[in-house]
Amino acid sequence: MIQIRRSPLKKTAKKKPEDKQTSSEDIPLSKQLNESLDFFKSLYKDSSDVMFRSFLIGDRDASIIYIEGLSDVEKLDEFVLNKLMNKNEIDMTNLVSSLKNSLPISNLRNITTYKQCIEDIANGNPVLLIDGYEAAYSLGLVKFEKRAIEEPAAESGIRGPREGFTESLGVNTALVRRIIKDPALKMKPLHVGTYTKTKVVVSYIEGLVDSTLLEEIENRINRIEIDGILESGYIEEFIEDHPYSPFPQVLYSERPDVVSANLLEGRTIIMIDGTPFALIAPVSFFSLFQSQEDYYERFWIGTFIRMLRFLFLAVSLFLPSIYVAITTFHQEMIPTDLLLSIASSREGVPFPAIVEAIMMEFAFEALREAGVRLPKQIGSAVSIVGALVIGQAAVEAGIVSAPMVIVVSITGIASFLIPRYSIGLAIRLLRFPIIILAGFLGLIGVMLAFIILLIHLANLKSFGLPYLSPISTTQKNALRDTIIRSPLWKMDVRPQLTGNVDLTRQGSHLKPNVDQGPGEGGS
Amino acid sequence: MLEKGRISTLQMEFIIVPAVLATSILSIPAITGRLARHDMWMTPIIGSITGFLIVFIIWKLHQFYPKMTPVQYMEEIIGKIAGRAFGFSLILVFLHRTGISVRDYSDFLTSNVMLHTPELVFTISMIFVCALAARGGIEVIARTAVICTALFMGTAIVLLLLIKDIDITYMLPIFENGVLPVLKGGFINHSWFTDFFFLGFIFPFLNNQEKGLKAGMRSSFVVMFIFVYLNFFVLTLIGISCINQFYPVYAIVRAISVFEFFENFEVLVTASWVLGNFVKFSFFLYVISLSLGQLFRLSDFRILVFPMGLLLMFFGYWDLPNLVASRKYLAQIHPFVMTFFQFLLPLFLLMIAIFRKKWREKRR
Repeated sequence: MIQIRRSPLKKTAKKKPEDKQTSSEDIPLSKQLNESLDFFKSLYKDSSDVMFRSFLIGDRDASIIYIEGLSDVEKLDEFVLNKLMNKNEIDMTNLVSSLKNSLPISNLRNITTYKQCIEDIANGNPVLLIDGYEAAYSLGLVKFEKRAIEEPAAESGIRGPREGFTESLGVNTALVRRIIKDPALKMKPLHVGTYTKTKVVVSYIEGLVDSTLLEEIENRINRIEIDGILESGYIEEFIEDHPYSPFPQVLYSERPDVVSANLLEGRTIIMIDGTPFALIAPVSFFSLFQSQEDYYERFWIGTFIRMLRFLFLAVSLFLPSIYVAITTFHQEMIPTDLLLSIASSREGVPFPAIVEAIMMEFAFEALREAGVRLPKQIGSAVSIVGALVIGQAAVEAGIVSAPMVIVVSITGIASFLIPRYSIGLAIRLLRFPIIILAGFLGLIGVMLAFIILLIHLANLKSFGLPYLSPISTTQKNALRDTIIRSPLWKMDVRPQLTGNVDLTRQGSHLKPNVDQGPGEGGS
Repeated sequence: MLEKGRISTLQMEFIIVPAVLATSILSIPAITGRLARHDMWMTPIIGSITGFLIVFIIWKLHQFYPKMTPVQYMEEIIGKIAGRAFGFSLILVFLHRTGISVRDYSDFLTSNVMLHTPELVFTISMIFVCALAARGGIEVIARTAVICTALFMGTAIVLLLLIKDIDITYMLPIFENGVLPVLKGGFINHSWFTDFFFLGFIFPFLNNQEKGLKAGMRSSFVVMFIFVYLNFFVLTLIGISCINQFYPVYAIVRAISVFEFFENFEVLVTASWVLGNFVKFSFFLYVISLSLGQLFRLSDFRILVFPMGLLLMFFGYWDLPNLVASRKYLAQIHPFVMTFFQFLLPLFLLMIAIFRKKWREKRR
């Protein structure tokens, strides 16, 4: 059977269905205020949160439309209504220019169509309509309740900045811009979602990023036709290269420093309004094992912890299956004393090792899920009860063996060692088929599972970047920032991603050398 | 072009080394030891001359026809009909020798690791996995090979734990029976080194064509080094009695015991050896499917991978009733078949190619 996967791009995107609300609105505003107001009132009927405020500027009718809670009403009163209602300040003969000069608002824009009006109102900009003019003013007085910048909950660390992204896109872009000040940092806005009209920003550093990659990402995002975007995961699933793979092909982060580091490596960031998680693309398998603190602490410890992560990746993926394989098929492999103690603890257990392992893994997964989803107070109770029931009562009752409990708990701990949650999820899923293979074919089954996994990973690409690069593609300096973390002064070049871009990151010979003296160091 | 992928020279080395090594290390000193006795450690050095020669021949042919695989340039060199006939028989030989290697692999597992599992289970599962990789093309094979080979070769280090047990005197006296036995043993080794002929199927897909020769020579040297390394440990540990073992290398790995704790490395070594075999079989299966696709001018070789995998299985079980017969074949028939198809054939091709070029220049 031959399966030909079409790239997401090749699917010809259907024309966007014009929904009834936005169909007739791309028409210019009416000169008559009454007409415009009637239109907006019929549009926003049964919407108690949309406010209309009519008043007079001099002798002209005017009206302000805004949404309650999205706009700064205090400032609207003080800087707009107060000024406009004061006849002395407004020169009626030249209303346009005097408006521009009398309203102390930095973000004041002229808009001419109904569509733009609706967009601005929805974004929280009050819209000022004046009788006799075909243009309206959008007043940049957005203010809505948002979460303050807090420490990122999903990616905490000991050393390093403690700011995390929030749900507000404006704050997030500002956090990145505050780190990378060069104008080469670009932020391209896109809009996705027929109803949510979510703002999506594609951010990159010009000159470091492959332009075809950028084009591809934009094309893939533009192709999305969905009613709403609620989280970065929505975008992620639509732009992946291999939609059926369990492995994440896009990374997410809620740390501005991680995002900036990836920007500096020539990757593209997709920031989505309404979620603190920004997407990073393209990524390789090995970048899923990097954490920001590898770079903030000394490189020895960074290297050690990286290796530890790879070791425990293998543990969390294969330990239960290796245990099943060894106890079922290869008892001779275990040293005699250990074999005796395992055998004695398995003596009364009524299940074969494979059933035991699958049972325990399921129980562990259930416990973990219960702990995450429940309210905190109940969650801890669940984990205590679960740990007691599974860990002790089951062993004492002779239903499961103690070594199996140890194996499952080590596996659980190992899966927490991987800094990216999304790859941990993939590994949790893959553990089960591997246990089954090990139960049938022993260690050979485990090896076959490993090979199949490897073939899958070798087939994967993230936006054209081979998933196993740079090690499997044997690029120059492949080991420098993958399994080991070499000192910063040695990482002269950026990782090779797709395309031909300048990879020089810093000057060479930056290794600190006291003997040379300060003047000669950086030649 | 059936294959659009490009791989690096390092990836090429990671493919070709296990392709030569993986199954031959099973039987290595057992066959050569029978001929060369305690001089067996020298036989790979003799055999590797072939390796270097073949790499050079294939490289020269590659320079004449830089974008073609051997099956393709064979038609250019010796004409359409003869070229296709030889190409087809070459594919049959590949099928046969790969089938026998897969058989060797399954034989080993069923007689050493999992005694109660039917042999066919290992054959089918391995061929299925290899077919998955072969369908991905040379790039996927190369990427998996890097990691598999690294793990496979890495476990060779455990033999160093045997250093405390070796006895160098087993190697003496050198050349007790003259040079001839060593040359005979070298001939067996030579048949394994002819596998470097498969480089001809990688050279056209290198992204850095100039470095191909050097990388090929280097991998030939690596293979020789590992053969000598294994021969040395087998000889100094169990002496000439290794010729009575079916799997001498496995036997010495089982003997590793340090502090009563670092034991039972044989399972670890076997597991990593499975990875090496996977690289070998997937690459050979890929070469078979690709060359058949090129021979019959197909637009895609992928449809051939699974049928060829099935054929491999049949070739492995056909006419080889048991391990003894397979060993006899490896010692007595295999070297000559390999010499003809993987050494003399490319040599003749090169000579004709050079002759034709000279003749063409003369006519001009």
